[in-house]
Amino acid sequence: MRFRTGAFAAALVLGSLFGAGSTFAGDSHPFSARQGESLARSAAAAWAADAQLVYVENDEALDGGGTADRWGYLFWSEARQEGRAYSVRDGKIRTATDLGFEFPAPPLDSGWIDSGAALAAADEKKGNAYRTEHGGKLRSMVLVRGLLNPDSPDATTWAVVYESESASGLWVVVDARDGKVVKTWRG
Amino acid sequence: MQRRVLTGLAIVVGAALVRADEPAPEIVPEDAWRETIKVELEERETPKHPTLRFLDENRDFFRGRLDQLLVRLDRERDGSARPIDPRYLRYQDMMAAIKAARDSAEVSEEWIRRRELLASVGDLIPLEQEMDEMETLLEQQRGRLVQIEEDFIGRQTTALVVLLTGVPAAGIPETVVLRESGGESVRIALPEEARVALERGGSTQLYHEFVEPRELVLAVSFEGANGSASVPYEVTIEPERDRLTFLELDAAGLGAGTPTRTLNARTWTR
Repeated sequence: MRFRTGAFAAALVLGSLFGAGSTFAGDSHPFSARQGESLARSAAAAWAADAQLVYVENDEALDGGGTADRWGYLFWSEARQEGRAYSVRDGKIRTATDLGFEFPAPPLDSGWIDSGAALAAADEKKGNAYRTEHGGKLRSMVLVRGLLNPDSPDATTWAVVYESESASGLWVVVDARDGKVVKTWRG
Repeated sequence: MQRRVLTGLAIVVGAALVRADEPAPEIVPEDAWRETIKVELEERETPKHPTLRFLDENRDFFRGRLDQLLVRLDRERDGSARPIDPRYLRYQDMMAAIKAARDSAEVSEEWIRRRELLASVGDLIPLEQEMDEMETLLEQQRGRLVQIEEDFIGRQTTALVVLLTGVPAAGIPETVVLRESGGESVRIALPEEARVALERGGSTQLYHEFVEPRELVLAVSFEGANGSASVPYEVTIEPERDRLTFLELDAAGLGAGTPTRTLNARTWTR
């Protein structure tokens, strides 16, 4: 619990600049999508009692283990007919913003595999080959339900998106229940 | 939201405003009036920590897929029932057990009453057995309470209670305005009993709501009966996740002497 008034805030800022460097942005620790979910859910519960997690995306660059310094979590409230996004970093909510457009996506299935497992499955299937052949790199990971695999509209899926300067991008869709790659496409 | 204020001077000359090809009017009205119009352009603030950029960049794609899905789900909706939270079913069993235990306790009480005068030491043995049974019932009841506590206390949501104490130099305010930076304002009119409490050195509750467990910058201002308003005092708090955070604002003597933006405040959690 932290508290400060205006003058004290200035002292804290100075303190963080000249004191211990633990508050600097560069010191943040990468974490998986699952690790930030609980905090985001807690915030969403305060925003709307019926808030449902409908979308997850990395907000900072991903590393090879499927972790990132910051993850974004989008919640949708049927009662409010609004979406609210929370960006989590270092165990704190860095940004809380209203979504600027309607996105009443179905709530994510609670049993989704973590980002590391999803990335490993995507890499193994096509991602590694894409990186080698096209000098590609990992761009984004998104978790959503029903939108990316029309054959299985109830399934929560990870989409692992790769990009390259010399070729069109690669999307690898991983079933978030069992980690199996269910779809890939270029674009 | 940052604002850029452009001040323009609009001169409105009413009927004297004429087209160039028309002859100049003979009389320029004395009462031509001028109005200063403030044009405020709201600039979109670039977020310090942009979030969900991929979704935003591919909004049309995701939104299109969602529309397809919603149309499909609408066609296939079967109206099947949703599973009931198993806890609610368990509470039914719990209530039945509580009722049975109460019946047992009533029987034991009656039994003890009938043996107020014990005929011999031997009568103590069945009495002890009855006492043991009642202890078991109490133990079971405690277990149920623990279970209910785990179910409900475990779901505590982050909440904030704002209390006000002390009287500002300008007198007891009629209204307190809380405004979250970049968020909405809440105006709290103080009822008579709250004003009396402040006058007598007590405190009053201004606000009690669920809040997000993140840094909140609150601007607090006080409005008097004559429409006067204090400068906004800034207070930064970070409510602890899944706890009840109390923020007590001490307005005693505020506004007297050197102008300050500092408001004495303290917080604690439960």
